[in-house]
Amino acid sequence: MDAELVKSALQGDDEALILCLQSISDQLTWTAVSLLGDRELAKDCIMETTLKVYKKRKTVKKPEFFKTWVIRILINECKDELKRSKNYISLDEHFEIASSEKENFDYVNDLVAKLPLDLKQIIVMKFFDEMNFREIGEVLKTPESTVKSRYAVALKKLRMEMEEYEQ
Amino acid sequence: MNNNNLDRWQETIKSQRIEGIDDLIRSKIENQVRRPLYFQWKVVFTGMVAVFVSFALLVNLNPRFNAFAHNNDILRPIAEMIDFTNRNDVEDAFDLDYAQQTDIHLVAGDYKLDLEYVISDYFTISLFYELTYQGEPYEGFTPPKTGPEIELVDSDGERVWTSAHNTYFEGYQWMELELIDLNAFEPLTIRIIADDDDKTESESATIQNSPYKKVEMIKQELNQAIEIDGQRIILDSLEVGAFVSRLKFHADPENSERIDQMTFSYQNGKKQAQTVSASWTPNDYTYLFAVGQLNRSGPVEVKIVEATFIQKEKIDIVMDTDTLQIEGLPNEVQVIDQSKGEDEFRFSLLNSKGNYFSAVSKELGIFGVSHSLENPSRTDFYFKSTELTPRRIEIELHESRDLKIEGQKFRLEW
Repeated sequence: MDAELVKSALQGDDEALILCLQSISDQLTWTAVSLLGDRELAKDCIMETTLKVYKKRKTVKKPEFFKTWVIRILINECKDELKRSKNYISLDEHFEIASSEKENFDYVNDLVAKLPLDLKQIIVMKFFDEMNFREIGEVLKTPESTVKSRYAVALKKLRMEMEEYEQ
Repeated sequence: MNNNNLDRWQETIKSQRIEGIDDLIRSKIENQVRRPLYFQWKVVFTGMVAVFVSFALLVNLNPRFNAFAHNNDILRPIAEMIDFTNRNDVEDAFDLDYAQQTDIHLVAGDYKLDLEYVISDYFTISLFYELTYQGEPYEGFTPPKTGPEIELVDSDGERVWTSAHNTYFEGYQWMELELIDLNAFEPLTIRIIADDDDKTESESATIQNSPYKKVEMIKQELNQAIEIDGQRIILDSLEVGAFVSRLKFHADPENSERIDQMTFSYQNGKKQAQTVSASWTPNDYTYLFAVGQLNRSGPVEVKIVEATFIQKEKIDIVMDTDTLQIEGLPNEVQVIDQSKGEDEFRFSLLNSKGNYFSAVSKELGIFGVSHSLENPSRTDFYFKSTELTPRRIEIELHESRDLKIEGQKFRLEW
């Protein structure tokens, strides 16, 4: 993301803010969709995140953390949404999936969905937000070493579940 | 691990698009920008509204004008009314990710405690929880039946907080705990104790209170002296936490009177409040204000409204428990009432200077001093005698006065 553009956005330039958010809209979509499993809810959360980013942008002191800050707000929005809906929403009806992929997708997706949220959000950030462990640590306000070990735990869990399923 | 499956899952997620998301982001922001323009449209037609809107915009958009308006006696009331620049509240704590989700669920007897979030700074912890009794929200019992106790203890089982304030935030009960010391943090254990029908049940869990999510304390050195009726206090510092601030000050050692039990009144936005608690040693004071980084509505104006002054100079008197004679009283003080029962003595003093007395006596087990608000020049003394009570009792008197204070105010800003 263009550092000068982010700086202008944080200083109150609305057009710059729009461009910054549009430049990561795909990542926002994947993050929200993978956590919520529903594109309509994901859209609502991204809109709510946009509003909060617009209102609170002046609280961001370091422009280089803009993206992690936006992702953090989005993840919190998604958590709140999950809390409101109280459960995981079935993905089948909401995803555009080629029929040949459907079985594999459903099965991996169910496994990921069953992960505890603190593990799932790390997987989501690593896979879809192209973040390294340090950046994920920034988002979660968690030490990098903890993020790494949680990531390893998440992968291990997925591996075990997959092996069990395949057997 | 079957990486192909995971890769394909990723690819599928990455193929998902929300139609028109970029346009939606643009329109969401542009709608926010247009909102003040709508008000500006009215400006053309209404002169008065124009002035008000311009003033409001200046206060909210221009930090220098904001400071000027808040420091101007005439503009301040209007400025505070329309100042939205600092309208932080608890929701902000959640938005800004200070709230730590805990997901702790404890059961003790018929009570269930769901601790959902914790927000902490370096001297307070706020617990956001739901408490139910037999499945229904717990709303307290009529005494003598009592509800459960919720405790926060350290790894040795020692309580880590000194005072608690309960209120509500949205669906949660919100308990704010002041910590005993700044290091009384981790590991913290929350415990619920139910004491019903001669049976005590409890359950506890550890709170994972991440140091990364603590609200950083803001500390300001003040070094500001205030004179109250001839006695000076020096404001030392202000420590601003999440929802509470600590004002620390000390009394000038040259003061002829000790200042005791001060009452501060302060305005946080539209809310009027008084100091919630205080601690002090003879010369150093700490007062807590229920306003912090996350719940301030604007600059906080503090007024000193009441204080008790106690003369440092003492008057030593001696009372003979047989004859009830009192020695050492100054001329302006008269004994106006005296009585002796089987195991108790009473007497009252009238001070023509109009002040009452605070008193101490090391020799008495049970000793009471009181004065009436209507007649502060009269002080009543009571003590219960025992076999160990000596014939002559030494008492140390200090002239004291309660003062209503006007016009003493200062501002807390950070």
